[in-house]
Amino acid sequence: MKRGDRTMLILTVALFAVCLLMLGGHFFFAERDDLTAVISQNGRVLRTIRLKGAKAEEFTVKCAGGGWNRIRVADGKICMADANCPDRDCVKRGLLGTAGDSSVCLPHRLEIRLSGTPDVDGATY
Amino acid sequence: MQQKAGTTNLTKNRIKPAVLLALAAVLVLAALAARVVFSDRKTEQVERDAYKLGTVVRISVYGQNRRSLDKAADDALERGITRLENEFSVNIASSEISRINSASRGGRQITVGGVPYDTGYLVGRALEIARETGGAFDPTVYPIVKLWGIGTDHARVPSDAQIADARSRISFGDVTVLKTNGTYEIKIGSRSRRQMALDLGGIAKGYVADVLAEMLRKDGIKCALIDLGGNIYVIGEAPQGRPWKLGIQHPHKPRGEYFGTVDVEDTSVVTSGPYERFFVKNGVRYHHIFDPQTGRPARSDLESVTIVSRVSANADALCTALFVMGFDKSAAFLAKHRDIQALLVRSDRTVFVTKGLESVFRLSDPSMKQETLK
Repeated sequence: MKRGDRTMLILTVALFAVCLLMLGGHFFFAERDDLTAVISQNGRVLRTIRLKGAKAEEFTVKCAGGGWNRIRVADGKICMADANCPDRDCVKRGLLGTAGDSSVCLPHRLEIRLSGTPDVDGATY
Repeated sequence: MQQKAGTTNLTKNRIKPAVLLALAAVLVLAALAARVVFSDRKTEQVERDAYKLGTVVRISVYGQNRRSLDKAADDALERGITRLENEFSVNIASSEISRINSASRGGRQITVGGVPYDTGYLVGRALEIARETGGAFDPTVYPIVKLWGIGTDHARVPSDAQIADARSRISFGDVTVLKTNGTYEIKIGSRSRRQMALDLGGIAKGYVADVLAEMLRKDGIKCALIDLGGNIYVIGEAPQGRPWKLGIQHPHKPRGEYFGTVDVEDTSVVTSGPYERFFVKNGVRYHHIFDPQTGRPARSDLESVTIVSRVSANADALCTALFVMGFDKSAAFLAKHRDIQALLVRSDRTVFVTKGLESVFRLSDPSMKQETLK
């Protein structure tokens, strides 16, 4: 093997190693896509809760005019447990546990949305 | 000796191409690695959420320059949505539509001048769609919408007499729109139709999406998703370099569960169904999509209608119209208007797909069946 060939071989192996390091680092250090519930009112984020391993809790969000929504977190899921809005559509929505899921209380302008990587980019309804 | 030298030469000659080949392969690998590692970093995402148009709206824009993305999203929200909502909303006393409706309450036939471009244009477009759909979509349906109050805290089942009175005030044929020196003049009512009222609720979200898409494109945005309470408009392709994948709400399952998806670019997708807003009284479900002919929630054999169109205002209004028409009339309408792409879910769980959507629609509920509309 010529000296030039050997140099090229070393270069090739080194480049290969760098590629492996880049790809390995990218996937190892990639942001963990943990399921997170974002609770917002009037478009303003009130609270974010990382659902994986979150402790069970219940809390109330109040809105103008005496409105309230009771939010429950348990077993890696979240829901509007109760509310005093007219149709209680937000409560009927049930448990949210998948990225992209959301429950909206239109009368109280309150939304819980699960971020993460959903299986679709958007949804019509 | 000579043979040895020959072998050495052969080895020398073979190693070089092999090394070159390996180097080329590694270079390709390096290019791929660089693409994987750096592609995510060059695309910035800016998202704005707000409570507007009676629903939750979300604008997601993607690009390289965060500052220009911020500006484009803020502009779309404030100069786009807020400005148009302040013109169109029946719930805002100072809106153009409220101004027309309150003038109409005072007389039989009234003329309102100085109506700004967007309101004048959209009332005109709504009247055109009303004519095209034989009144299945009607922008004068407001007396019925207000009477039933579905989606409000005073939803109720009105008496037959109340429904008859409200119906007597519905007639898109008694509204005319004239363009005068940059603004519009709207005539509403007739000798036999008084106290009429306009409601752009069935088309406004679509029109707002069209305006926002135009604003974002003018701001140089090539990749965006506008979600106005489930009315979607996508610009370009998704940031991952593939078509946007949009879920279509399942009519029998909770919000966020889909019966299928569509892969789309540069278009709008709108779905309507009776599951969206309703109330139950004495075991009967009353939903929010009214048949202007009966003044009652439409008794349709369709469970949901989805329209895919580059013009979201058309998609929005046609969803309502086709739902009211029911399957047979909708199929006939779509056969006549080949440029309209639709998904119709019939009550026997058949999803009817127009030809243009066949290749981009994927049915995911195995309990439903798919057919192509002829």
